[in-house]
Amino acid sequence: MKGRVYLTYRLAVLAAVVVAFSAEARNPDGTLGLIITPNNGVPAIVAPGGQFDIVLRQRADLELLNGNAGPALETDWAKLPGGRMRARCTVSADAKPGTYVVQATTGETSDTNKRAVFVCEKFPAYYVVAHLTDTHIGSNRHERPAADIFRDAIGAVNATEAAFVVISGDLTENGRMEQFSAFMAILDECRLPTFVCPGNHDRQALNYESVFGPLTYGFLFGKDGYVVFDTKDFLTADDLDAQNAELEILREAIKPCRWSIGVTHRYEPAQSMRSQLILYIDDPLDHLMFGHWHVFHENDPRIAPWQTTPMTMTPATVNGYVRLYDISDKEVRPREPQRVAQTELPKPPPAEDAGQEAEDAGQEAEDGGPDAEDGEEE
Amino acid sequence: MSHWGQMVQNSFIMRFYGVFVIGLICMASAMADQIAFVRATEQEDQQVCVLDVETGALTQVGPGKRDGRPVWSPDGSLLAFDTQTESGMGICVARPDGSELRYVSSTSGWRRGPRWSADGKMLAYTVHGESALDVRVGVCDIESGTEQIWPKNGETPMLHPVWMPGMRLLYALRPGQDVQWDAGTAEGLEWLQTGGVLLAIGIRQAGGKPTTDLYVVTSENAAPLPEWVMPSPGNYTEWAAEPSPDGWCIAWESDDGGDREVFVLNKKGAFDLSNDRSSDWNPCWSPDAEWVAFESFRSGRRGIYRAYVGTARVSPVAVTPGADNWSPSWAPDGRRIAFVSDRTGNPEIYVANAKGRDVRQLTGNGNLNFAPAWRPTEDAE
Repeated sequence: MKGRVYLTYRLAVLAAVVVAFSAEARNPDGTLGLIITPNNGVPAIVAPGGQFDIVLRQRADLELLNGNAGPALETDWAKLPGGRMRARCTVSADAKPGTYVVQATTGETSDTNKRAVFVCEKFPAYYVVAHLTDTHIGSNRHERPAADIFRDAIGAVNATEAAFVVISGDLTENGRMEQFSAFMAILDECRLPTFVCPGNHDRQALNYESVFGPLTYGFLFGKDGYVVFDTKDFLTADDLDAQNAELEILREAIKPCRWSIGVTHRYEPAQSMRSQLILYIDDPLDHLMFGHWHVFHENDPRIAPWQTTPMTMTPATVNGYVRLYDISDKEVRPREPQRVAQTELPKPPPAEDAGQEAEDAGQEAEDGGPDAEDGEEE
Repeated sequence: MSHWGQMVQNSFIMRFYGVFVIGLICMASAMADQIAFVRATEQEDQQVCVLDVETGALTQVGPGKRDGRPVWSPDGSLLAFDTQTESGMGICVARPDGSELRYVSSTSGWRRGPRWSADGKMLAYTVHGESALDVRVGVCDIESGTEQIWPKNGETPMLHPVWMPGMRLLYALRPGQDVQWDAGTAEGLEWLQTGGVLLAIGIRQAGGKPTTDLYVVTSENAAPLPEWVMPSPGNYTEWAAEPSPDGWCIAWESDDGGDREVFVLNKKGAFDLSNDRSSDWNPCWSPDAEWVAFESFRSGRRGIYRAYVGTARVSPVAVTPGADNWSPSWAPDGRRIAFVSDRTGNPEIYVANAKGRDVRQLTGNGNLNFAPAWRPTEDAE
């Protein structure tokens, strides 16, 4: 799995060579440029005086910008396989809370990643996480475009007290670049950090990797550790054993954390025994957030056969749903999913019944709508 | 016949045999220097290929539809691997030149992880059912294509089967010891004398949660390895069991002791072979059964190490700062190890001598390369 990312990196490096000097975010086609991470799907959250990593295709001058200015960065460089470079950055202690752009400049190239670094005042012991999943941008599952439903969901989480958002795969309907571009355009309307992972619908060449970078990564939020991983390609992930080392290293890294929480698109226990040994058996995660199934079926044995890690499936955002989690010293508590977006447009009523039809449509939305996708499996 | 004529005839015979012997040596050499592996070009485009180690010549063998890890038949004449079917995954065999490719198992449902019997006539694999714990062991006669579920009426979910070269290990450990099997108690170990014997991972419930044990499986019965042969009593999750080529030992991994370790069971009992605070995985026997190569995270990243079974002394084979090395496969001569490394940023096949020196990169074609399997030679069997 990681190898694919490297391949993507190489392809993207090739693409970067032909791109003339530009201070635009990413490459013109939306793929990652000089900076791989952090980006708007794999951001860094840091407190003043804290550290985060920037992974680049080559060494560059780095800045954090909010407007035209930003906090000073101290960088410690290391080489990574494949010719990449990692800058371990220390944010100055007087950094102001806010959302920052990462800018990297070499002699010939400049690149910026928007919504890449979030400086928070401090990490609270209690916080809220918003979970979106299965946005399926580009789909025609409902009369309303999936993009409009996603926009409503982003608007809804913007209005919550959530500290950050996880979006667990099937970001797009077919993994096409224009669908990723449309996804990112709405993603960037979010005021919160947004962490994404791929789903089976995002499988189209190496488009996901070229847009967001790593398929598997981890991050810390205060005392808690999160591992975000790919389940879209079970064969490579398991039999060919490419992703498991990354999972083991990430799992080990968050072992001392208050809570260790996994985020993935789907949970398929028959697919990857090694990943299950790592994540659910030898040292079980404290919670797993996932999607894929679109509708509830919590009694389905596919969800938690090993019964070692509590798992919460969130219904699809393309069906209008978002779920919030309360994270505290006491527990990781999933709230009931909220219907935050209307998925169907009211049909144009006949002129004589217009008033009654509109009233019915409004009631239907309040009831959660007629989810025609019951039993739907993605 | 004249003396001269006799000499000419003898000379001819000697030349004939000389050429024949040289031919055999060349064939053996060619077989020894071939590695099967999976070449991935796109997200689901994974194909079993065979690489000539010396010349770099590449032969495409699998259909390229999510082909899985290849395994050689004991005589090196066939490759088996799982690959995609219209309704799941099935087991394929093919000649290493890509000819005679055929499904030997049912093409409906999910069948994965084939392993050859010692006589090369049967394949064992995991048959996946509808739910996560609905897993069984399938055994297929590759000539007739008939498939049986082993054990016939077993209730314990089973997966990851591998053929035991024989049961002399268990006989040596405790002859006459009663064994609890799925349908009751067997007197002694006579029930194992029914033909082929598999080692598999069985799933059982313990304290309301599933856990795994090492099971001995025949066509009729299945029984966990008795507690008296395991390192310690308790509910530990065993995985990746591998019998030694001579049948005298079993290597496997377990979380017995708090983290994942490689254990070995021999006629003196079981012991922790890898013993480190970091995870140790995927044991792989050397052909002479004196060494076990395995993967370990003791350097911070995944590296390949080897342990001498007689002393449990561990030494590194492939360890690269900031990069991973995995999937060791011993050459038939036991002097070289093929493996995967992403030290250049891309997973590629490498070969090194067993001490980790003379490292040579074998692939580098822009693809992603996994799961090397060195072709056996008949004289190594």
